[in-house]
Amino acid sequence: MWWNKIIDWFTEASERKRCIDDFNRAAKDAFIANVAPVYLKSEISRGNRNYKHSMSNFFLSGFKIKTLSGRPLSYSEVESIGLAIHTNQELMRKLATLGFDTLEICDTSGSKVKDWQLTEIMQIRNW
Amino acid sequence: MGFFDLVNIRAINGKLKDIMPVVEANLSRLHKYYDDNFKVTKKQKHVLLSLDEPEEIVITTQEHINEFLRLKKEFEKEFESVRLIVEKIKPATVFGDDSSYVYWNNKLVSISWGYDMFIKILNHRKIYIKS
Repeated sequence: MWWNKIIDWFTEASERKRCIDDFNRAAKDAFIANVAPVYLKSEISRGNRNYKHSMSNFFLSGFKIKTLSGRPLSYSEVESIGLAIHTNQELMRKLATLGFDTLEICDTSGSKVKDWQLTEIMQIRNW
Repeated sequence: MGFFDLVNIRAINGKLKDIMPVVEANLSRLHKYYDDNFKVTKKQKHVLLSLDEPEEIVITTQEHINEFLRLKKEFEKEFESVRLIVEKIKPATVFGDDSSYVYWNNKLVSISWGYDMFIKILNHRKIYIKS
């Protein structure tokens, strides 16, 4: 029956929230331990609609990482953060299955610096 | 309270929700850096009068002091910028039902209180620099 699917929606929503919470907790710990020079925070965004795939969430399909404090990141540092995420096969698969299709990184003013299409990266790497 | 005040307060509240944890994390980072790199030991004030309470001293390096001062400055800068944002909503909320100014101001007061206590403890101990 179609209404059984409602339960799946809740499970997926809580999984997505857990994924965001895990990232935020780790980012906060890294900042407090002085490992990371900047305070990063992730949240769910609308994503880039050109990057949709079959498992994309209908409205909110972006995994957005915001820089909240510390010095402004250079473009190469933003690329390094993106690289650290999209070279992790398990994390990329997890993000894609949770309905994300876009990975975006924003600066301290909140404007987008760079975004990546998750499925494209996975295809390039043959995952 | 006018419509634009409401919109403005809503936007500022959203921003404060994001950046208030950053100020708290800045203070935690300062605490952690001090705990990790400033070793507290006890030293007897007078060798002959051993009945005296031993004095707490701190042993560290110049590099750690420099880094600590950098983190302290970063915290103070972050705190001041958030305080200015909180002050922006004061005129609009002071005569209304909106309690957001009181809520954020209380948060700032508790952070500031924690920081003052920390600085008091810090100043109370003599610092010895290892060469």
